[in-house]
Amino acid sequence: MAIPLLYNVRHLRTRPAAAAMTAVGIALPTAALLFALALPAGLNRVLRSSGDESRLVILRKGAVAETGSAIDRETARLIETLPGIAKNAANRPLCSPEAAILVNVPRRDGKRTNLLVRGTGERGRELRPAVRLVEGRWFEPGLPELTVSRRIATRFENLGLGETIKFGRSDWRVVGIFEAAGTSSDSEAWADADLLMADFRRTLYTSVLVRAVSPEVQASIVRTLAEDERFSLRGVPEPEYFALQTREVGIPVEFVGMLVSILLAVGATVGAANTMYAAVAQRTREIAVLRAIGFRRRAVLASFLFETFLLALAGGAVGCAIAFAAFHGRATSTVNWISFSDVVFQFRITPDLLGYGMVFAVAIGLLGGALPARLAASRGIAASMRAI
Amino acid sequence: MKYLPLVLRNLFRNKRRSGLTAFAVAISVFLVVVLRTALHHLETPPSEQSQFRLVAHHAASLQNPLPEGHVEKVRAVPGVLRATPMTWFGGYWKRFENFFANFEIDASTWWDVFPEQRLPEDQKRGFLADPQGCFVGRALSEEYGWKIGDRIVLTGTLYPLDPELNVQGIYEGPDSTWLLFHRKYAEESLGRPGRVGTIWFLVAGAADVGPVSERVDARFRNSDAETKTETEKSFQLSFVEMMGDVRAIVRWVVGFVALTMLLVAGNAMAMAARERLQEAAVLRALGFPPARVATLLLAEAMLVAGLGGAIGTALPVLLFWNFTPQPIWFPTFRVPTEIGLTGFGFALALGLLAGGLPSWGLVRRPIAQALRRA
Repeated sequence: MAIPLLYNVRHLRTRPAAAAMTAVGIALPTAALLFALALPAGLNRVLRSSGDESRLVILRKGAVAETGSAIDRETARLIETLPGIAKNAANRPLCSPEAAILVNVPRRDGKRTNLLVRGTGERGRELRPAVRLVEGRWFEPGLPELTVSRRIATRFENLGLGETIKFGRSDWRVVGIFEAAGTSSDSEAWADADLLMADFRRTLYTSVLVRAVSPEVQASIVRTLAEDERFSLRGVPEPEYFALQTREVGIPVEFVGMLVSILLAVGATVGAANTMYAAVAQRTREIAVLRAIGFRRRAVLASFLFETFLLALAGGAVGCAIAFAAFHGRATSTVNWISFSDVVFQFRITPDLLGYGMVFAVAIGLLGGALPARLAASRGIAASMRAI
Repeated sequence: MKYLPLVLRNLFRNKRRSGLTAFAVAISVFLVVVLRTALHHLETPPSEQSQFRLVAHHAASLQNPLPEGHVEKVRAVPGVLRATPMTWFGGYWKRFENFFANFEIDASTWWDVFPEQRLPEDQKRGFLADPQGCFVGRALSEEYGWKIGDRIVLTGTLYPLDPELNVQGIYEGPDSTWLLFHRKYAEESLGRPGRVGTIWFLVAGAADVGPVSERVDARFRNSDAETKTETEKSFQLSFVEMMGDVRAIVRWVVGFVALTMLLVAGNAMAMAARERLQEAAVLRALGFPPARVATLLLAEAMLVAGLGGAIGTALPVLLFWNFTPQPIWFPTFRVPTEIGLTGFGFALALGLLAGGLPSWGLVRRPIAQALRRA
């Protein structure tokens, strides 16, 4: 027969301070774990959601990011004539030569970082339907105007609607705000490609974005670009393009976060074990009495495990609540080391993560409680009765 | 001191608890020391003379190169002692994971500005004589197993060039994780685009830093390639700044660790105090002053925390004495003395806090009441 669960609840209530300290000792590492996972989760969401299989990023051979790539005008025109590129309503090929230029500008918190300014055009917008204008208007070709993402407008100095920012050789006026559904475009400011390049005395585009009519055609375009001597370029489907960035930027962050959480968890496990050992020691005689009136060893073991389980549950819930309240939805940014540009993302405490947090907390509790519970169950009745 | 045996006896009375608590403290101190060491190395360039070494780069961002003519113009600016161009090549070796710092340099002037990177004379001659020569840092050569005479092919991610290089030397220096090769080789292979990434130069002293940087930037104002000049330290910090809230995040985590461990250690010491309640009352009844009785428990807490702190500090110090976790960001991970000391100090403070409250509780209660408690 099992020992009534109320027994454990009552016991926790008699030592509220110790119980609370143990629970909070579990709550803090749980919150730290969620924090450590929410950061890469948000970052990876940006990088993963940005990739659309139907889009092909064309780069110089050897380049790993747009910002380190270069394609001359003639080659860009040649790409446009490739068979199999999808057409828009006006029967023009969906092919957008672009210039991704980094400018080091201050954020509103005063720290400087590299903002990606994308020189693009109408077809660049058609190729990215996720990007929607929400305020103002699009930049005019030939004018030093910017349309920037909402997140950039709020995070960067001088990039709000109507403001003017100086870079290159011009003063650029922000004439519109767009939203990009959490994709990487949300970390960009857009301008007219030709004007932007002229402003930086550049003659080369950095990349060309195209949409092929079908996946098979896309594969054949990739082959042509690689093998045809006129090109010698690298065509990368977008998901693959962002996969490298996820691997090189998101995963190391995730790794460090996990490592710290695990070390913290070991500390918390020790804390839980200490509390439970003390609980067992205090109740040596009680346990003997329970055994004497017929409860099995297994019932004693289960009872103590249940007690740590309760503590862990409470700790886990508090930890999840702290993490959710403190971090969820908070926007932050870091540098994408592949493109050297700033990428804005939000901490996201998803239901999955809350689930992990609870499992983590319960694991700490049960691991910490396992040895003390075994000790309690293994004591001999007669010896324990004699103990003070 | 004569109470030491008593404190030790008490400590060993519950070996399991003392051990577990010391272990928990050790882990937390380890974490705090490692995280703070990471921050320290991110924020501190390893070079010795970096305060008088300045760097000029394109004002918009490093992605934009400067025209090579800028180098001579910088040299001509009053106050500039010696200048040399240096271009981040951005190549990797065999696989993208093998990404490290590799630069194109001008061999005839480079050592004027970077004298701390020491290359033996005969190796230097070999490098100068070989247009496709390169030399690499000691740590980097150990990481990839390169020896003098090896042929290395880098894959360029920024320029359409995969340089084929001969290792002519291995240099020693505060940051021995770079590979350096002739700028001329890259320029000629790329069809002479005439670009440089950065221009490094020395000024005479601290008083010159501000005025000379201003003069350099003024020299190129309203030109096609305006410059931004900063000190080596501020240049390095700009990369850390780009990482965003990294520093804040690390501090948060350090805070979480400290708080968690305070709870764990505090709880353990509170339990120890509870067990001693009667004993303490007996000691006080025998005439020991309350302060001394309280000190006994406090000393016990300090010993446990001190032991944990010693282990938690010694471990990273010994483990990372000669360790390069990541060549670009962490060419070294040696624990700085003051971080080691504060790590240990953190453990002692933990013991003081965790032991202080319960020991005070131990003597606060009237003796009779404490004696009556079973």
